[in-house]
Amino acid sequence: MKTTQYLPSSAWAFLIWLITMTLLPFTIILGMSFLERTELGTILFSFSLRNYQQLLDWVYLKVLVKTVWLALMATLSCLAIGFPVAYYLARVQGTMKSLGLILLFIPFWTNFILRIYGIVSLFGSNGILNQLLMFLGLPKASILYTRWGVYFGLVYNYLPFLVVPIYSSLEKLDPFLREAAFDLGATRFQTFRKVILPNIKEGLFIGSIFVFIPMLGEYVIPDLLGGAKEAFLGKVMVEQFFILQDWPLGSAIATMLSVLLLAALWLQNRWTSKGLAHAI
Amino acid sequence: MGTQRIAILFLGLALVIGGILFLRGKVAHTNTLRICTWSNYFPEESLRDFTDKTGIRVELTYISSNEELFAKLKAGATGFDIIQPSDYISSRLIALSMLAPIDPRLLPNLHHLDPYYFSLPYDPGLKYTVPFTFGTTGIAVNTSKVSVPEGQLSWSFLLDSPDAGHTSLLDDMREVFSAVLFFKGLSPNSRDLASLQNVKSDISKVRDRVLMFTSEPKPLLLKQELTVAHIFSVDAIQAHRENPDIKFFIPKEGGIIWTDNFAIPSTSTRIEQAHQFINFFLEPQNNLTVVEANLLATPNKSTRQLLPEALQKDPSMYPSQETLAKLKFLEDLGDALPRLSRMWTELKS
Amino acid sequence: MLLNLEAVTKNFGGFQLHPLTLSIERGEFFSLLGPSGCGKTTVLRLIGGFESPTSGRIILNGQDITSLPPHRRNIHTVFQRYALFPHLTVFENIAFPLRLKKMAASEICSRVTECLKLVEIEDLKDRRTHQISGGQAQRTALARALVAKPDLLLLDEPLSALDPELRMKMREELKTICKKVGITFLLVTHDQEEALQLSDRIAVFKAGQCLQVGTPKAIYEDPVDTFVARFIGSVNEIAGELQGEPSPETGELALASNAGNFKIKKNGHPLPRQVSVILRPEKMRLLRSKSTTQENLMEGEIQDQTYLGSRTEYSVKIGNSTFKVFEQELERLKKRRLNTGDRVFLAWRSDDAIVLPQQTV
Repeated sequence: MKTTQYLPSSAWAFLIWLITMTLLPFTIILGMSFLERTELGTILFSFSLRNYQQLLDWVYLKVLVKTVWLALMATLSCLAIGFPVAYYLARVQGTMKSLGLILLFIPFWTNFILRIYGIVSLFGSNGILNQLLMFLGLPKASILYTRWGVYFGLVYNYLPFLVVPIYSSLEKLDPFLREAAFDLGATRFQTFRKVILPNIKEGLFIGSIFVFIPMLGEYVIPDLLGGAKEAFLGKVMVEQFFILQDWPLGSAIATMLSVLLLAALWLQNRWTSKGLAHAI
Repeated sequence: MGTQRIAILFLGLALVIGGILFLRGKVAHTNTLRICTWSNYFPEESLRDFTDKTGIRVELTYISSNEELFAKLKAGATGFDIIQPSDYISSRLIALSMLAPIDPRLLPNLHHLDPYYFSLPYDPGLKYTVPFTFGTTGIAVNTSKVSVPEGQLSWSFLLDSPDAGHTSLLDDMREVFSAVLFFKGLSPNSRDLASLQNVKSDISKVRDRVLMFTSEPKPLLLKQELTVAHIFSVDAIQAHRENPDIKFFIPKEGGIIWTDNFAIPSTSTRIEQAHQFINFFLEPQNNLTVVEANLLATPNKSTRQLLPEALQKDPSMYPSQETLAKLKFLEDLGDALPRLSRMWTELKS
Repeated sequence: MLLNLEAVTKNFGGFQLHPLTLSIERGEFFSLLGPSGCGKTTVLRLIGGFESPTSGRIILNGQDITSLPPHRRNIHTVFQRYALFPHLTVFENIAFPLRLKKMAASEICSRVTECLKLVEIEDLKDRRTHQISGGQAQRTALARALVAKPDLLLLDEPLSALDPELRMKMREELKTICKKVGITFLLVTHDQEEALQLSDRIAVFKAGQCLQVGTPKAIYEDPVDTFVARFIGSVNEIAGELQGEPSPETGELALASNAGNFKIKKNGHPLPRQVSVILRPEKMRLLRSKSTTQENLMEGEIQDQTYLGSRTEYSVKIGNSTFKVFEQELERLKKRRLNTGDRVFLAWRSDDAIVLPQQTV
């Protein structure tokens, strides 16, 4: 079959957008990661691997490992909570479904900082939870300004992003697949494992990536809810750009994060034969 | 077909609008000053007064941090005539020759400034900057929750707080290191790696005890989540206004003093008008309007005399001469900075 | 007797299944026939275990399976849209029920291959489900349902998604496979031609009620009411009133109607005076001129004719009604050609008419 070699004109608009908004900035960051910094914080145009060497320092590696671990744990928590939610929303119909979807999306329409401060009001040492505990004569819970506060903030904030792709792929499933599996002798659990799960693999992966990657770069939540006691990759990177005036080092960290993203996407592509476009 | 054309039209429009906005940055009316300022800093009436008096219009652009300002200038923004950098940014800008020199002949009101400000380490003789406010870093204590000992407070009150579970440190590398350096009787601008390592280990012990790091402790102090906070004087004073139990202390070992200044970028084309602006706000009456609106401490001695007695004598706003002598400006650390920042990252991991 | 439904009812929403008692014999091809919404699919789902009856019992092979979930019933289903598993190959789809039983790999392989051969899709075994055609998918679904040798195979309108030519072919194959493997087939369809062609016995449903159960011939020749008569095949109807008593010698009875007075025979059902006489088009002869005959005669005018190749269909206007009648091509060629408006006669024998009580719907 002969394929047309030229692109339709609408594709050109998209291509221009893609190049200026994605490829160009990325190339700039990539390039900057190989430059050096002067004492005063401006950029020296000389090629150097110093930034990447610096990142191999155990301090930065420790931050990287910590951040990856945090993002991983938070993602798994999101999966544990979000998957049943997505499953329920896909199975239920009528008012409950509409209500459920609205509740899921309300956080999207609220300002992010407001939501975080909402958590502070809830879990702060004089917050609603502690006031309840005090009223019941129980000891205070200090969730905020600890790792747990950060976990909670991450899961709370990113949960809808995980639920939506999973819900979407569950919705697209032929409802008769489940019945067919039962009919042929599978128990509920076997049906779930052998029929449902393999067919929503893509949704699961997309949802996890949508959540894992941004979490790697998070710094507002660790600052506001974690008491800024621990620096994660996002914070270290932002500090390079704004406080410490070491743009090349910051770019190196940014490049590293981008490479992680590309690696995750490549993994996904290999794992599911149909690829990204099919899943969405 | 239809959507295709709309898409291209839209893109074209976006580019055109972008171009117009960009050019506006280059071309401007001759009698307009472009000022990069903090939000709500200048009261409307003062700016109108200025325009009435001099015929020069004023256009404001807002930023929220020094780093943002520096990033903008470094990225090549050339449309500003007046900027308001803090002291440490000013010293960087001076070193990079990004500031136009100040001509004292165009500032007849300069003499209103307190003599202290003519020998600042980052700009001796005020060749490039003119301070419009100053402040200090110290400790805020909610005295109704935590009792303060007699006599002058020491930095140990923060570092070894009686209520560590409700204590915070500033999320600022230089400030936190300075607190310990002061405590040890050392200079906050020390580059000695050995001392810095010691300080680092001290901080790591403190870090485990305190509740959090934050550069904005005011709301939490008011909510009583914090009772002892490492804080900038400006925030402490505002908190005190709302809750008189919250008091501000400058420890006896000394602390950091900082200024916010007027400066003229070297790329400005309206240097004379910029000087007129600075001169206008050096006028005690005009300075007073701004100071009253923002509850800031002023380096202008004439303005100070116009303030109510209580305010003039308030040590949290206007430290005594004795205290002033112990206060230090933060200076650039040069090649020690990367090593310090690595220590800071280590502390936070 | 393989399957017994005892007074099974089902109520949900606005629908109600009237108490159904039905038995299906081992090895037979049984169809549930009726218009949309008549409840036939509900009955299928009740047997499959996807719905629970409101009351009544379902007995399979002597065992009460009423409360058993689908996966515990030895009944497999071919779904209308096949419901093949998209993440598995054709081979694996068919192997699915066997893998659930934890059968040995070698045995799975031989059984699946056997089924692939049965439905003639051996060369598709490694294809994915989106790489095969509709007909091939249908065969895969059939193989998957048969491979575990269930007691009963349910088919939910399996041919409705296929194009007419393929449908014809598949009908024949279904019948063949049924007899070959000896498994009882229960088919749900709204296509009466399909039911007639494939089934050993048919159950006709309307609005949640089973009207008649019988062989295709019985349903066709001896419908229990006008609905069944009308649903199967084509009909011409005469509404009339019975007059007097049947003649002792001929057994014929007089009928008065708007189309004329005729002689009919009762066929064993109790009949009221107001009846509906059903005349199938193929039971009526088309005459160009009046002739003396023992048969009933009706006079009319050709309104329309449709040439169908092997036969021609005529619409004849008699009085206020239109009657449909066929003429086989061989016959037609022997006689004078008919045009619209021509005067013709329809003849029919009294025992070829199906006489039923009149029904409003």
